Amino acid sequence: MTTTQPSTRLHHPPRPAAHPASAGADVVTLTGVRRTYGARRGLGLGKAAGGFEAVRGVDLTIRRGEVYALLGTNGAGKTSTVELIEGLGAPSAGTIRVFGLDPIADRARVRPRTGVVLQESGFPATLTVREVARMWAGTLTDPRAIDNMLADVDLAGRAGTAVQSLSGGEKRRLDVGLGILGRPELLVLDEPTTGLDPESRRRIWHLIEGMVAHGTTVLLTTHYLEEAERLADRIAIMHAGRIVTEGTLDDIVAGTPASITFRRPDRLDPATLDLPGASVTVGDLVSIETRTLQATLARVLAWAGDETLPGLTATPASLESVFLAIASGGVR
Amino acid sequence: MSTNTIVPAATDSFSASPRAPRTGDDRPGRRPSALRRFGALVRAEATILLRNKTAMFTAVLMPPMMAVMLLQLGQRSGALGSVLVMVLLGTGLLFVVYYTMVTSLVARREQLVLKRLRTGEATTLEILLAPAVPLWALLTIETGMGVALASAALGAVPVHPWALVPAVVLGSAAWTALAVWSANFTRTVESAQLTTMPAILITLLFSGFSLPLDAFPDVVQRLAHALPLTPVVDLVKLAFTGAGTAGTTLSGVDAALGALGMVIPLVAWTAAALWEGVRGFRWEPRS
Repeated sequence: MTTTQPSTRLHHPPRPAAHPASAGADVVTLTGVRRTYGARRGLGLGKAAGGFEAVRGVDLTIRRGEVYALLGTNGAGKTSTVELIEGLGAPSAGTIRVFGLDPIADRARVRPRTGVVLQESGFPATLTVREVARMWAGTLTDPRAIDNMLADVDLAGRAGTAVQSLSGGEKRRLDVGLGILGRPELLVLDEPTTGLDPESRRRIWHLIEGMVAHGTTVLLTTHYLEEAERLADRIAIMHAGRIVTEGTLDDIVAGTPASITFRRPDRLDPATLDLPGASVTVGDLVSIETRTLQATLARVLAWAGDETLPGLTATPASLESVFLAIASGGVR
Repeated sequence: MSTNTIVPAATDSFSASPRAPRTGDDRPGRRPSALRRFGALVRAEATILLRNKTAMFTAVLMPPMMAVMLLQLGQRSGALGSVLVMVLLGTGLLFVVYYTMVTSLVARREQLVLKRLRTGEATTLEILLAPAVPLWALLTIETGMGVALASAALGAVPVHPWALVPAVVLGSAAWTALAVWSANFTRTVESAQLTTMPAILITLLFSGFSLPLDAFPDVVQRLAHALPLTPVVDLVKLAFTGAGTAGTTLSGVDAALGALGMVIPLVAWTAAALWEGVRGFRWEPRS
C-alpha cells in the first residue's frame, strides 16, 4: 500500500480570489464580549451577582477565508468564547455577529452556513456511523454525499460499525466529518485533534486545508502550537478570559525577545558583560533577553573568549516562548 | 484515484459547486423543509428505540401488564371493554410516552447528543419532539388493538368513537410536553425513576380507573378532572358509554360540549408544560 500522506506542504494551498461580493467582509465580529456562568439574575436586583466570568471583554474579527486560531491554557476561556460564536449561549455583555447576524436571534439564517465541531459531543451509541451521518445530513440544507465525507475522514470502512465500537480517534474523525457535511462557509473547530494519533491529526489538517482552499473560513482552538503554526493565518492567545496578543505568527513572535542562558562561569564576572539593548539577569543562571539574538550572542561569545560557558543555549523567540510567557502571566 | 492531494479525497461536491461564499438569500432551492429535518431525526430515534431492549420492554409490555393487573383488582364500574381501553391508553401515556421520553431526553443529554444537535440546523422543537414520535406510534397501535379487542371480543362498541381521537392525540401531546418539562429537573437516566414518580402516582391515583373517583370528596373529583390523565380517561368513557364527567349520558351537541370540557385541561397542560420545559431546557449535563 502506498502512503496516504499527501505531498509535503508547508503552506496553504493557493486560494481562489476573494469573492467580489464579499471581499473584505468580516465573517465573525466580537465586540466587548463577556460571559458569566452561574450568576443569579432576575432576583429583583437586576444585576448579575456572583458567578464566574470566563470571558472578560473579548474583541476579535475573523475575515473571510482565513484560519484564525485561538490558543490558551485550559480555563483561558477559549471554549466559552467559541460557544458564544456558535450561538450555544448568550454573552452577558457585548455583541457577536456571524455573517453580520446574531447567532442566536438569527439562528435559522446562520446555522445553514456554519459547521461546528464541539470540543466534546456524542452520538447515539447504538447507531452506526452511516446512520449517524444520514441523520445529520437529513437536518442540513445542502449536505455533501455521505460516502465522500466518510472517505475524507477515513471512515468508509467503518460505515456499518456502531458508534459505541469506534475508537476515540475514529469518533473524533466522525465529529469532524459531520462538521463539514453541510459545506459550511464558516467552520468552527474546538480542539479538533486533541487525543488523535499523528496520522489522524495530519488527515484532519489536510481536510481543513482543503476546506480553506475552497474558501471556507475557519476558527480553530487548539492546545498544539504546531497546529496553529501550520494552519493559522492569524493567532490569538487567550489568558484568564482575555485576548492577550493577536496577529500573524511573525507579528506575535516579533514582539517577544529571544533568550540566551548559561550557568554562571567561575572565572568570569557577568557584571562585565556589555550588551546594548539586552537585559541581563544574573543568578546561578545567567539569563539574557534580547531582540537582536545574533549580535548579542556574538558579544557574549567575545566576552567569554576561551572560557567555556556551561549549558549555553540561544533560543529565538517562538510561539511556544510567547505562549509560555503568557500562560505564566508574565506578558500582558 | 490518487490520494496524493490536499483537496479532500472525494472532490464531488466541492468541485461540483465551488465554494464561492454564499450570501444568506441566494441559496439554491434545496432549503429543507422542517419536515425533512424532523423526518431524519425521527428515523434515527425510531432506530435507537428499536435497539433499546429495556425501553422496548417497558413500552410494549407495560400497558398490557397494567391492564391485566388493574382488571384483576375488580374495578368493574364500567363495561370491561371500555376499562381495558382506559387502562391501556392511560398507562401507555404514563409509561410509553412520558417515562420513556424523559429517559430518552436525559440519555441524549448525558451523551452530549442534544448539544451536538443544538449546533445544527434543527430547531429546538424538532430536536425535543423527535424522540416522541416513535412512542406516539406505539401508543396508537396499542390503543387501536385495545379498541379492536374491546369491540370484537368484549362487545364494547364505542357510541362516540370520535372522542377517542382527542384522547389519544391530546393525551400524547400533554404527556410529551410534561416529559420535556420533567427532563429539565432530571439529571440522570437513573434519577428519572424518581423524578417521574410524583406525576405518575398522582395522576394514576386520580385517573378514575385505579380507584373510583366518586370515592373522593367533591372538590377532589373536580380537581381530578383537571389533571393531565383523568380527562383522557373521561374521553374514553365518553367514547364508549356516552357518559360525561357528571355521569349523565350525553349525545349530539351535549357530547361535543362535554368533550370540549375534557379537551381544555389537556390543551392547557400541553401549553404550560411545553412553555416551561422549552424555556429553560438544559442542553448539556451540569458540570
